[in-house]
Amino acid sequence: MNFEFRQRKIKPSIIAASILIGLVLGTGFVLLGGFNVFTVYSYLIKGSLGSLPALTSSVRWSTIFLLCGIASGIAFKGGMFNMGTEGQLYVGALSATLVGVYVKGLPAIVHIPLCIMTGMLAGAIWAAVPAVLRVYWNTNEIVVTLMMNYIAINLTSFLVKEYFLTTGIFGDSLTTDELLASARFPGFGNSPVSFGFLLGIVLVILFILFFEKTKKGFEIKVSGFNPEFAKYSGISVNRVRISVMLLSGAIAGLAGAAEIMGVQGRFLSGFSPDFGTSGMLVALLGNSSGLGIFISALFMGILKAGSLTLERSAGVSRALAVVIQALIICFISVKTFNLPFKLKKTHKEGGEEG
Amino acid sequence: MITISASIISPILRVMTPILLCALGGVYSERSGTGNITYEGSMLMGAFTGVVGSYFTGSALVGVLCAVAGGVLVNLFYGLLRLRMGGDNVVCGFAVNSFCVGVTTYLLRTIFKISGTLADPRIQGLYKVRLKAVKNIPVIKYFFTNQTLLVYLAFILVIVTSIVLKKTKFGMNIRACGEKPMAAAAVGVNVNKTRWLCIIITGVLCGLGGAQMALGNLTQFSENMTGGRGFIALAAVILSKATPSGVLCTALLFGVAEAYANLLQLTSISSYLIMMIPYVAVILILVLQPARLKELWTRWKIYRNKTM
Repeated sequence: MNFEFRQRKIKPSIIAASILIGLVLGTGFVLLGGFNVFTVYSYLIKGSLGSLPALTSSVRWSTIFLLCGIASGIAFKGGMFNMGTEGQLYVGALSATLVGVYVKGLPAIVHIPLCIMTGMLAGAIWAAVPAVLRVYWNTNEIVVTLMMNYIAINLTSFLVKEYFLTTGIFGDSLTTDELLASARFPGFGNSPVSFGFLLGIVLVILFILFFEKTKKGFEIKVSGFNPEFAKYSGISVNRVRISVMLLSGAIAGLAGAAEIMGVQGRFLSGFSPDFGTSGMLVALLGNSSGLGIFISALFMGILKAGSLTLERSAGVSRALAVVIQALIICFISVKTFNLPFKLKKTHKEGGEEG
Repeated sequence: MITISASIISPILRVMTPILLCALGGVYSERSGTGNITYEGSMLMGAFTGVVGSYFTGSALVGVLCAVAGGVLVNLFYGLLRLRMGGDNVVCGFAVNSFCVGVTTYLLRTIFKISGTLADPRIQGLYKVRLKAVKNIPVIKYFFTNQTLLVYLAFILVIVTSIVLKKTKFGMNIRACGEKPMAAAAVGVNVNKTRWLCIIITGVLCGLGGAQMALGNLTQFSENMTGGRGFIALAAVILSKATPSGVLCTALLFGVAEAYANLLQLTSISSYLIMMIPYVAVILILVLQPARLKELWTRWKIYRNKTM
């Protein structure tokens, strides 16, 4: 079975080329849909950078992408492909919500960290299952984490429906009660930007410091790049793999908690439009480096905010953003752009010279 | 309450077929060493193009051909990334899967101006077999009522695949490319060509799986309708070490789990819990593999001897 994921360096030129190809092919899809390319891109930019509300919307989406990106990035660093961030995010979000709703009478300074810690703990527990299975049972972590996603989504919906349904009238949507005021992140006026973004920036800095300056971080990096080498130099790769998965799950749980506490205010079943996948895309695009994750999270946030405006104003499906993102990632891990026509040309040149 | 009766055979056959077709396609990819994980995306794309083809032409056959074309296109794209450009199989496979989710959603909204589910009388479903001759034979009749031809094709393909892999030169080449590509290349096998062929075969079979799902089991397309079944197929391939008979057994297990889950939905148990069953079954089956348990038992014995 060759489903082992190895972290490897990506050349900046490849990243630039991938973004270019992604945008060009994405434009192809815009043309295929019969839309005016100029209008589409102007709406994309207007909706993400054009005005103050647009900017805050970009930051709001960047926040969750950044947190999910860090979660995936940690796992990638340790050579694990954690496809289960989505599920860990759901469990984290639900448990943080429960603490936020049902633990009463705490001041905000205690309540907020408590919610976050619960979310992180739940995420870590959810991630522990695939990690332990991978290390001790040698089962493929990709399949297990994916299955855990579907289980998490259904399980949280079940719990909300059966036990924690809101008492107010919310139609058919399954949601919990609203968080207590002491569990909400302090906001910035009316804008959707939340305290979560600051949290994300702090985490990015910690991420960089952890992997650049500490021994543990170095161990994780080595076992991600070359597990054999790590084993021979005395690092317990299994322990690293488990701890990486736990950390990754904890951050994913935190992302879920932050989304609820900063933006949503209540747990709505199925609230995430696949944030986990977006986080993975962010981490891959950012080459799992702290700064890279930050920049690509901003990029994805801009794309997302723009695509939402695009859907509202021009009737172009917001899935266009997903198409562009995925196309970029398709080309990010390639070694060379060995295109058919280029290949022929070089052969010819070689032949003439020889 | 639920009683165990032979009538469960029909739904089991229906739900296991897409997984079986996909996993059989996966056997080729896996044996030739491409590490393909794009079954989910190919199946989704196959389901979409199948529905589109059937919608516009009114012919189920054209729909199936379109589904095959869709699956092949996705896999050709993956092959381009993986074999020609040397991309990482996990990253490329993952990206191709999310690309398929995005592009089917995008095209669904662009072509049909709707989001969510496309259910239209113009979509022609697959022909369903209804054999009159076996109508009164107890158990056998369930095998031949209301099934699409793809169900039988899947079972035939299990046999064909095992013959191809074991008895033919092509199958030998496939296995050689997967196990020792260098050795295969040394004796003159065109490794790249063999892998390309395998990837295309995977595309064809995943497309058929998508057709069975969107035109056979249902006659509609909804966003992300495969819901992880491609990954269940991947689990089946991993679990059975990519053997056709093993794939058949695991697909059957998942089919049983899902068919019973569907039956349980008629009871008062929460549907969310029931929808978890197939996914939990995958994990349980992965955990409870006999080989793993044996390995664990040996490890435990070694550990006990060490400490004593």
